[in-house]
Amino acid sequence: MTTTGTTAPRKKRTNATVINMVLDTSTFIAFILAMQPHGTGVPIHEWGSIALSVAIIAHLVLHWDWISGITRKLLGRLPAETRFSYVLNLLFYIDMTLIILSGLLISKSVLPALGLQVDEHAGPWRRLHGLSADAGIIILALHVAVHRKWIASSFKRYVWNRVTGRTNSDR
Amino acid sequence: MTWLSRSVLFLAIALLFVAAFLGLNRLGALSSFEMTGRPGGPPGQTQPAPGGAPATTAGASAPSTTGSAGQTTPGTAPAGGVVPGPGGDRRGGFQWGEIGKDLGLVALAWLVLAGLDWLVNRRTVQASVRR
Repeated sequence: MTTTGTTAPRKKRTNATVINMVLDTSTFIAFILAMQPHGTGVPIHEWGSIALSVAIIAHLVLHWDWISGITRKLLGRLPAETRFSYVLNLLFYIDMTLIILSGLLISKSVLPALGLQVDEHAGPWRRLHGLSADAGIIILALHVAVHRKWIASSFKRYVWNRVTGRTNSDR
Repeated sequence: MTWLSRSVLFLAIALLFVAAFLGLNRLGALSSFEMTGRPGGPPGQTQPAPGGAPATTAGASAPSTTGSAGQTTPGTAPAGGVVPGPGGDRRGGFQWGEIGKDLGLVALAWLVLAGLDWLVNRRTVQASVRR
């Protein structure tokens, strides 16, 4: 009973870390590629961005405990780094919403495929799409930098150590 | 089903932001983001391509010159040609310089925050040694 009680949560945590790593790496690559509509072509840019938004929702759901925990404590005492991270993530969420909304409103591929025609490719949404995407890459850079320790330790543990044949107990 | 209800909650929050943005647009708060005249003309406007047939949706699908999103500055129609319409032209291909800039920005933010972290830790250690 004791053995089961100690190993099961550890396995669960390990799996969650791997899932987070795979999802976050894919999301990061997808975001960088989404910034290149002329490289991917507009249909891949638009449909890929829809998939990216699903991945972001999955990312948020996986971090539910952190988000709900900090939201409850937001008005109380919190380390400055945690508060900064929370505000940054909130800005990222708002910015991603604006990117996707403005992208849909100037869509040439997704909405027509759903039978909706958009004639406005020039209005404020066009420029907002570009500006919010440029802001998004800056926020993404800060988001990655804030979580650099987790990224480095996870990469070392699950990628580097496996490639080099080291076990995690080796130091 | 917990993950589903949480997903719906995040989507609902996103929809609130969407409503806010649409409301701001209706109030005219976003009108300052309207594309104004620049070399190459505002995107989406019909304009003749230099030395050729009229271009369609010029700029809307032409490659940009600045901005990592490739959309900050509208491009111009190719000489003598017609800018391809909706459907996904891939003229210009990947802008490796822009990708490099994006990744460089990530690396820069990483180094700056790591440097700040190191400085703060160093000062903390020095302060504790003095005590």
